[in-house]
Amino acid sequence: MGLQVGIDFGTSNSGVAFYTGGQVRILPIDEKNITPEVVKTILYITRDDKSYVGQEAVELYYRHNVNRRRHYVKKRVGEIEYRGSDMFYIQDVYAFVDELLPGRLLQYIKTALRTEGFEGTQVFDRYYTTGDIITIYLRHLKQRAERILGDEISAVTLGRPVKFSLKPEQDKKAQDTLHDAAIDAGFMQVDFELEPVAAALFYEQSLSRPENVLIFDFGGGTLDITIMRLGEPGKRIVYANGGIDIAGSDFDRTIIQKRMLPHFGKGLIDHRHDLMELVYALADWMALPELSVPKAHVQLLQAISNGEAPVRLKRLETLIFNDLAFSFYNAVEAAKITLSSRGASVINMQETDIDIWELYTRAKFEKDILEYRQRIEQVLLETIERSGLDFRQIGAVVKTGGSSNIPMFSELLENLFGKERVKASNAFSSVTAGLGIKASHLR
Amino acid sequence: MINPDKIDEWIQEVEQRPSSAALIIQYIANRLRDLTSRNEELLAENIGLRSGRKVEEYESRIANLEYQLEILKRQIGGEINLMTPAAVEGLSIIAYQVDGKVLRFEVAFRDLASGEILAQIPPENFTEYLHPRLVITSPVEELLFVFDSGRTVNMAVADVPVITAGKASWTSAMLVEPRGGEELAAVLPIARMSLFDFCVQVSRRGYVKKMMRPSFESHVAKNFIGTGVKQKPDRTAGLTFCMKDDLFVLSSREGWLTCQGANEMSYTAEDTLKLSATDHIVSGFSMAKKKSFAVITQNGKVIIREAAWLEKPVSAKGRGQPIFSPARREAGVRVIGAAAVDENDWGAALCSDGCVTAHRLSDLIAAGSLGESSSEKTYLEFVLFNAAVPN
Repeated sequence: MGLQVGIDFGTSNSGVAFYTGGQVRILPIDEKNITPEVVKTILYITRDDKSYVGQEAVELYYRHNVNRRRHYVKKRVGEIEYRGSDMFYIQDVYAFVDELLPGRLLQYIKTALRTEGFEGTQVFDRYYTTGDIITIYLRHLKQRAERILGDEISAVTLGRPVKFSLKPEQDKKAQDTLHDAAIDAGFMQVDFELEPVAAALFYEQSLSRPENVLIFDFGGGTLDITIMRLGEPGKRIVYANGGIDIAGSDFDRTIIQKRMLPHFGKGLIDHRHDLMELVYALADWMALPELSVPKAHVQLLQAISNGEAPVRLKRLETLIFNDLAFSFYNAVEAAKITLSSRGASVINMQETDIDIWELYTRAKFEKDILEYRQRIEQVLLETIERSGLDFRQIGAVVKTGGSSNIPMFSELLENLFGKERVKASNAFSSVTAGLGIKASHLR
Repeated sequence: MINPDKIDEWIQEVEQRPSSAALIIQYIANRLRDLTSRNEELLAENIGLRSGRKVEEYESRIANLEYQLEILKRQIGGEINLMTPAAVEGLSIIAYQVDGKVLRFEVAFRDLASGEILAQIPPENFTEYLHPRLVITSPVEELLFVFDSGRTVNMAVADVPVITAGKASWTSAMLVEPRGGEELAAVLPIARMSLFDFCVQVSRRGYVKKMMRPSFESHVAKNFIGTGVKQKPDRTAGLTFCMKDDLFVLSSREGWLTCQGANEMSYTAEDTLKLSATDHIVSGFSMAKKKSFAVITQNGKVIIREAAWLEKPVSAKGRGQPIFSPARREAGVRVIGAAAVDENDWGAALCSDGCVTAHRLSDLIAAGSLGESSSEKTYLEFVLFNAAVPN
């Protein structure tokens, strides 16, 4: 029988924990990362079918892609039936494929689990289902953990959000996919724990007496809320669970939509629907690769040549066709994170033909995401109501996950519960640690 | 991009959190420093442009490129000829039958004289309904063979073997092979299709369908353009390219004509002429910029009319305008071809004895006929070619 670990498979970041001798240990799974205990949930698959995760994937992606050459070739991708008034034939459908593309970077893998209708994606000549992609990622984590622990890992407790999806069948499908992917990755035994419950288990370690706790797990993909009684390991009670699919990635998208699109022509070329499609796609990391095709490139170059907002469209052209979109998303995310600790930050990107400088204030950010705050407050109040407890009966509010550091949401919790009851757990590792504790019970 | 709204945002942030003021000033100061530095670089570049230093630099580069080009010319042994290819000085006469047999004859254009025999097609039981059809075009053309199933085959004229004079035989003709019951319905030169807006497909029973040129190109690439018919016994009579402002004319064998603006035509097959059971369409042509059109009958008569003679029908299902009197129709006069013409055009007529003769249109207009005909010798087909075609 091998070892048991807990894996927090997060939307933006993941982690692996191992519990031994009454101590939980977060494994330094990504040595290249500034925080080795956190590994980015990013997978990079190269043309020769090799795969990389975390910081290594990011670095390789940059090395391979930024300012590289492209060469598009026409490739058959399928066929459609054509029916005219007096004719019928089957027409082959072709797509322009960049034959020099060295690899494909896959982000927000976890989001694919809850995206209805998304079954997988084509990476070069192979179609990868969502399960295939997750299998590859988990296999990397397993191998790295085995190297660190020096022993084989046979069982895993995986974290899962309270609700992958509001639709029960989609929710079940997501968990089944994740389960099968873990089995395919080489784990012989797989079980699940709700991510906020895992965070609660970690928090429980610091308790000296029983207490009702609200876990506010606000990460990159979802917000999960659990209200439970902790402190007596044999008598844990879950009063209520709640959640909503709003999180860090939605805030990034909002910043891009509300602040960044004018840098790429919005407001000047609104009459050019073909180009505006590209501009709007900037907010959607999944749509952008689909639109970076030769036809769009020609349209952009023609518009630049015709003097239609040439500086901004050149910026757009460079961003899309020099593979700088990933850097752009990182710049936006970094500015957002800075706003958690400072009143202003700058979204800054300096490359050849790109000069973006956007001074962004916390006041404006809070205004931009105000709608989300209202929805989150509603879910929070509904969950508390379902728990049957009133505010005074909840002894502590434990916030975890990167987005829980956004001051607007800390203030929301402090206004409801009082500052002294709101406690910050380790934003990126408390769920992982809790899953490690839970995994130790696997046999 | 700094505008008043953004400055208001910064002020609002400072009002909410005064500690942000220092941070915002610091960010703006850093940005100003960067911009100042960049501005200096641009000013320096501008001075270089105005002083002519950049011009000298580019002149030096051009001189270097010219030198490299000269070296390249010497390496490949002479001047690079960027002129257009030499004009093609000949005509290809393509004769084809419904069973897919195709003959090609060549004639030198310089030697062409009105009344000259262009080719002698072996006569094998020709009738007025079943005879070879003609296409006369340049040897560097591309042909589109259209079957009644809607299937097409592309082939360069040069790929069709040339028949040596006196040795023509249908048994040794090239075969554009029909598939399961297909018949070869039309052949169209397509090398110049990119110059036109539409391709019009006409059926024997008077159905007309236009295709936008890009769509037609796509269909051709897929080797299927559609049958262009709505009734089972019907089939394609011909295809013609035209521009969107052109007037398109149809002529039936019994001498009924109708016309329609190309822009007004339907993209689906629609009937345009009410034909009798024994009648069918023999020609569909575009007037283009020409002022007259010619109608040729099986007894060799040439009827010339001005374009203004044509009247657009009130109803799409009318009988059209008669080109000759009922008495002549009852006497058995039938149309074998019609086309928009001017005096410089050339036409070719196929006779029942297999002779293909060339005729200058100015001579036909003057004479009013192709030549003598008799009960044994009738004309079966008339096609047009003009002086611009051979190039």
